[in-house]
Amino acid sequence: MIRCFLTFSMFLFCAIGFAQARYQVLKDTTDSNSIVHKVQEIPEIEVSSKNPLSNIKSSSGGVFIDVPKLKKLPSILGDSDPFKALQYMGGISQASDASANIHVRGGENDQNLILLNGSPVENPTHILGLFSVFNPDLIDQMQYLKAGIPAEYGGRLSSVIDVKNFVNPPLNTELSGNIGLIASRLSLKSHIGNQLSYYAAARASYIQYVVMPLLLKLGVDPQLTQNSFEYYDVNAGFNYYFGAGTKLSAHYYRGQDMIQIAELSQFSFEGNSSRWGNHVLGMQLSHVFSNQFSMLHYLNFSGFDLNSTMNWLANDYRINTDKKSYNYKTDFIYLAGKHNVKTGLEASFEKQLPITIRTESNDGLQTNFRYNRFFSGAVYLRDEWEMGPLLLNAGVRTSLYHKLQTYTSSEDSEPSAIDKAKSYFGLEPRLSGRLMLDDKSSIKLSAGKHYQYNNRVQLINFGLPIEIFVAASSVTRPSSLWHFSGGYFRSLYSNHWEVSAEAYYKSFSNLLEYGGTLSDLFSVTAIEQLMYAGKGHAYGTELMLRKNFGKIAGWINYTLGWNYRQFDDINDGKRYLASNDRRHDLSTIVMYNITPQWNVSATFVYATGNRLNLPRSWYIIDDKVVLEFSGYNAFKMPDYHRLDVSLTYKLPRWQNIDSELNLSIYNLYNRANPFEVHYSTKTEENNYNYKIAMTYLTPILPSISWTFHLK
Amino acid sequence: MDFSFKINIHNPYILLFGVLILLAGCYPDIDYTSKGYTEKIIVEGKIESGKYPQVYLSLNVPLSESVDSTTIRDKVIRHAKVTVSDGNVEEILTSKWDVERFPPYVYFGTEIKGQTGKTYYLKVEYGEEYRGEHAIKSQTTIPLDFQIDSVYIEPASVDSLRTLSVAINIDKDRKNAYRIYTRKSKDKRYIETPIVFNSDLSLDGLQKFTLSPLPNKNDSSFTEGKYFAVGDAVDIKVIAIDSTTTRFFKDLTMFSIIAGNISINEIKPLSSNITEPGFGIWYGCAVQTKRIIIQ
Repeated sequence: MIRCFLTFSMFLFCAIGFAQARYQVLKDTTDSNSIVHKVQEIPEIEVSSKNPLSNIKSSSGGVFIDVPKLKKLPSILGDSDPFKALQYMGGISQASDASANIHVRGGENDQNLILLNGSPVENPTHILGLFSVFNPDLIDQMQYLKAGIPAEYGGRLSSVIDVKNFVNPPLNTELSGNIGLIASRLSLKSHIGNQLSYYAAARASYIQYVVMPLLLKLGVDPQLTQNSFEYYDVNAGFNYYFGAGTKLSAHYYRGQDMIQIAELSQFSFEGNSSRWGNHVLGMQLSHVFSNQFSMLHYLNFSGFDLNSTMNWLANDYRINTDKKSYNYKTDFIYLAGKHNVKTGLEASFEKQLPITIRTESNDGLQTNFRYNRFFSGAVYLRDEWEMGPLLLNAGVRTSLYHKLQTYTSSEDSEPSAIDKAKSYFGLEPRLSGRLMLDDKSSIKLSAGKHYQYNNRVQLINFGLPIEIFVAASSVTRPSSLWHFSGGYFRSLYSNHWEVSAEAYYKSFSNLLEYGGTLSDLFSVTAIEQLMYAGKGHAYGTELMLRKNFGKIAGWINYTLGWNYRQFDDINDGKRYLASNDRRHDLSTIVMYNITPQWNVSATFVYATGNRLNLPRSWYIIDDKVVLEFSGYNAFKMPDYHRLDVSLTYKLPRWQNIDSELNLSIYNLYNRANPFEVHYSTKTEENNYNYKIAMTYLTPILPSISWTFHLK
Repeated sequence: MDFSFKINIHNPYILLFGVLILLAGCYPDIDYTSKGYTEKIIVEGKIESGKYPQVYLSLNVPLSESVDSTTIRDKVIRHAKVTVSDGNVEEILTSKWDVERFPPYVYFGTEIKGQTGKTYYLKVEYGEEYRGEHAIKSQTTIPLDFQIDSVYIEPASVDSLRTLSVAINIDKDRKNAYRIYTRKSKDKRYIETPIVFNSDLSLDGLQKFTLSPLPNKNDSSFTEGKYFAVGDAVDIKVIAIDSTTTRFFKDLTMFSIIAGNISINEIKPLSSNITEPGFGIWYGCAVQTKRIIIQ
């Protein structure tokens, strides 16, 4: 989204993170859609840099991500990733090292609405979460909403992360890319005449061709180097301007991850391979009727599938999940006086396979879950109304959900209650307000109700996205949330500095946890039967200090938070700390422009360790060691902290190529942050020594990359 | 005994990727003390058709406690009074060392022999506390008799090796499940084909199971794995167990395998059929055995 502020009909436009452009804007608004399509039409107006008061003046708890700045942050393995850099924002906590799971203000990972040009993206990361699925060369805008989410967004409880590719069509043909040790990328942006602009981009890793031979030379077990971990993704799209305020755009994304393990005899683990990926196809048609009235239509397809094969204990297991979603959305924007009214509707049809696991060794042994099919829809209306120092954003969203009757194997048999069709209706009032106390400070309050009808429940948590899709049914009610938030925002020293303090309270209902054993998956026909439902609440305070301008810029975010869950069937019904409970969460970023050519930056993050289940004793039965667990989430992992630095040198322009070399060091002081915790044991005969041990992935990690941009 | 259980069965991905990017490391010293440890008496007892009952007793071990081959014996219960009854006859079991397995001490009967379809009661009295009405108790019924229908010998990829399958006629209404063991001539004892999911209560009619005994990884013949050598004499043993026992062993198989992986959202205790503070399983099984020479 784009922010702007009013100077009658002509005013400066603040677009974060992309090339400066001139154009006319209709009105002071937080709404970008009403003006985005104007970009191409009037490209002559000088535009300033980022509005220094944007955070103080905005009505919602949204943050407009400064994409170019985030690209300068230190990154892992030489790849700058604005999406991964979201972890440095207030209220967001990263799950663990090498994970891109995002938990916003105590929410779950599946509660974030992640959009690529308006199309939902199910799985936002590649390979153990090390990279995001979004190609950094294409990202023009990112918006992150953690509170005061306006009524036009719905379907997820905790946050909205709205990524927009290719918002600004190029004036010339542009070729950009990055060459790194593990992966490279290339993107092309161009146009044909004034009406058609297009882009295409691809990324791919080549670990088995570069890193593996290197490892082999370093003496790593050749058996290990037979394994492969790769990903690729492609993006393509176009914008077409019909003139008279009409624009058609389309985008396509396809990405896939592949992991193969040849053999690991010590684990009785062989012939394992997994593939998974997202598929996104979307179209958008916008039309401006007048300076007051415009309209947008979205047509989207999103898909996600996973296929995994494991040989485990002499049995071959095939694991499969599949989800397809077809979505239509329309928005109408009406600007009248001090009102910015937006209304619209959304309709989706989704079809998903919760999970299938089948064994190859013995016929007939497989899970019996069937595809769930459901419609969901929403109608919304909201008004952003400016009354002097007060900016109100009031709206309501009514959401509808209808699960179709599940196909049963026999037509004669009466479907069970769980298979029958089921409908839900949700009323979601949203209200947020900002009151300017003077021209430098404001207070903001927001309250909102949210519903989520479709969940992803984690089954295994070690990098592979093996999650179960669970939609609302007669036994699993929709998850819902009441979210209250408020804060004080102030700018200091001629807007060079900015401080804020926010507090939030969230009350979750009908959260889901998998309540069965693995073997239970084979004995029921509806996954909903294996779910526990419970409630949760989270509260906390977020403090922020930020320096916006100067040779040195950066920010400090600190969050003090509590996050609880309570399920009747877990922990004897007693309240317990959620696995992503983070008492303290601190992120600091400093960027220093030494000269126009040299730039250095550093980030530091600190977070209280995740909560998890660990055993308190073990025993042997039937020649097998069994662990007995302590209270739910009673164990806290070691605290997480890390310092990264990055040095960028802008190379002199050669021909038409702008390029820069980047040296980054991830985890400068080599902190062993746990990736996961497990039990270690001595293997000597008759010695039984069980201890908690942890694996970590990322000690000090220098990397170098070359990024180029050809115009 | 095989103590090399698959503690990190899911971790290879993590480990591999760690090595892959030259990153792998392990910090074994996390400060951790067991919270809320409570002593449990672990009971593992069975009565097979045509055989006398056997019961093994031990204590659970706090995770923070290091145990070696000497101190592990402190966890073996050797002074309990174990009584088995068939409702009419009651027998106090005698005991002896049994170093072939853990716990290396067995309580066994000499009077009551298991009969298919009959119910047996177990009572364990231990220490001063767990006596009389506080004794640890359980009961089980031996399933009805069944037959091994046929055994299939099929060629493997290597000329001198074969795969084995066994077919059993299953009556679904009995709600029994089956565990299958084999003993090659070199094996000291029966090795189970891991049931994991193949002893399913919903199976019906003639069912064929491929035998793939999971050997000890320290075994020099590990690579031979699930195959059987031509000329070898192999004993096949199939046992039928009831639904309670099936549930217990299914979960046990899963729990013990995944035990090393904290990432599984699975911390439910096993479905014990022993009264507290006892924990474990007392089960009856109908047994069929067959010896074949691999052709």
